[in-house]
Amino acid sequence: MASVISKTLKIRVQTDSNVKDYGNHPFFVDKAKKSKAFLDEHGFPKELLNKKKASF
Amino acid sequence: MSQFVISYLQYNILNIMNLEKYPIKTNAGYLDFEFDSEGPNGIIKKVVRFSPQNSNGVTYFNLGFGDLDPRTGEINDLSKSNNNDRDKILATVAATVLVFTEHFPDVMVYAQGSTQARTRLYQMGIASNWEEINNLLYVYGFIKGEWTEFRSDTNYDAFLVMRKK
Repeated sequence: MASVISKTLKIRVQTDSNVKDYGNHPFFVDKAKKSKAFLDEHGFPKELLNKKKASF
Repeated sequence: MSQFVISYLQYNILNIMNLEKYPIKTNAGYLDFEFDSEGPNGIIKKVVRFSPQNSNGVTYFNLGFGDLDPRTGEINDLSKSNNNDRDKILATVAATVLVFTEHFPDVMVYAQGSTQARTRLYQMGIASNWEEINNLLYVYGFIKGEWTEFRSDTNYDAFLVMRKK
């Protein structure tokens, strides 16, 4: 277990191996699917996509 | 004075200046975050998960957030805990977004509440922490069929954020 202070946020964040990987938890899988359905239908903000491209 | 003591003092001074937040725990992947809400109804474990997804060829992360029942492992985002700490919880969730994007600066994060009222809470969370958030993130809200730059006086259906450079 280790504590670090976020550079930008100045908040203590503890890395702890006891925090589970919730990647396969049905609750979060369902939420992610719903978000995909929403974005498949409505797309992303063009300005944000341009900023994302510019960052690479 | 040791680096740890300086950091600890810096943490305490700045934490007083900013909104109160719960301490955050995460794992090595920085995709899962946990914190404990504390109030009249006891300790309630909260979980935030940033789930990778792809839409129209664009990779983004969905922000999922709910209460964890440690006995059953179930996560619920419809219960009202009434722990009198709503603003502290919202500030802490906002903090997880900032920590996450510190580690994944080139990705977009999508957030939508399970109900309109919950989405409104996210909006209040963004608005209440706007000074911190606006310095670090681009924030867009979805309303009336289009994405627009975030305004605190508008009720949105969903949000997308990305780290500023």
